[in-house]
Amino acid sequence: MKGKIIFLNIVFALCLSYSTFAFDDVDTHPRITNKAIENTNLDNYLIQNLGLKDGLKSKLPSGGKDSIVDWLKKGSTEEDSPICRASNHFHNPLKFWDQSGVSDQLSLISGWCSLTGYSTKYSNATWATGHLSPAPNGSKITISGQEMSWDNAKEYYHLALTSQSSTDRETNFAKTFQTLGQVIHLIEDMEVLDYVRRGA
Amino acid sequence: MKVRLYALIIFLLFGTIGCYATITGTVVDSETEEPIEGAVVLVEWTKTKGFGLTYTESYKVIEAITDKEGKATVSGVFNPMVNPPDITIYKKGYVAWNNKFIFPNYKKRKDFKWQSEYVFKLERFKPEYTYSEHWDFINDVIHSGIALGKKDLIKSAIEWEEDKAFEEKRKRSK
Repeated sequence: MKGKIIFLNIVFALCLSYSTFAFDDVDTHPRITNKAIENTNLDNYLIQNLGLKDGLKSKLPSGGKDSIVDWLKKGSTEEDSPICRASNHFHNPLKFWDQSGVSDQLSLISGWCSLTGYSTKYSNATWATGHLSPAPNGSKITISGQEMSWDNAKEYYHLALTSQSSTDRETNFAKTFQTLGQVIHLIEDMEVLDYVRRGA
Repeated sequence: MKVRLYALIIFLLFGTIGCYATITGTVVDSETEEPIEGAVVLVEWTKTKGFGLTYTESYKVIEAITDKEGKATVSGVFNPMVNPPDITIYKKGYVAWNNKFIFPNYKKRKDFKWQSEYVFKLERFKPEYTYSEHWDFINDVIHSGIALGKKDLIKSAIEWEEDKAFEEKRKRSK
């Protein structure tokens, strides 16, 4: 009994000591995302070029209550879900992109992530863009299980512009903005020192 | 002896986290103490999952509207795994009240405690406040990007303010 308690205490202490400083996914990430888009020309672009007369406050689906801002915030919240997605949010700038993902993750977490389909730890940049080395000439891969990358955002955007039905167009616009929000989350993570040092 | 010890531990655990009884709130004007009818009360419980790597998701969302006496009742949650709830109260012409942050400077609120009855005092919206900052504040504290489709009452209530907020934002960006 005593041995079990000591063992559990050690496991608990290990889990605590291994925490990484990160932005909160429900409060901080969406708040930074909101501030970031406010400082872009996106609102004006949506009105002038895409015919979305309400700009960022346009509702998707129309008649609903959730705005483009909400979809962007949703993306910046959900990039951390399920938990093992976050294994791909690290980037060591001193290494080549194909080796710059998290390298010292606790084996307990790595094991869990392997079981849930996240066995390879990609660099943040690769996870976001599919590039194994910098664009424009860098080689690219398709990452299985990653449907919220920059390329996916472009695909959803294309569908939003070309789909026949208004429902499909709106659905794909919503997906476009959610995916952009997820990519913005990755950029935000690059501001956190723990994410750009050797592993976590 | 052991059974008692375990019972005490379980009691303490449930007594301190995750046990939120039904709450009846009365919303009043902070100056006149008059009840405010038609204020929207949003309560959201979240749950943090994982270890080492974590994420938080919405667990339960409840929206209610205050009656003539300014009262609204929100049923509680009994789950040791949920985080303390986020409560936001909104009425046109007043500053949104939140149990964790205070407008305009996001100062942390320290005077709220979950109890079966509570009086929420709403401050009138002052001319020196901006709608853009207030609208951002509301959207931040209600976590407008999670549990889409479940916060329609409060989103409807702030729609007029959204128009004013964007007017201000667009003027600023010109």
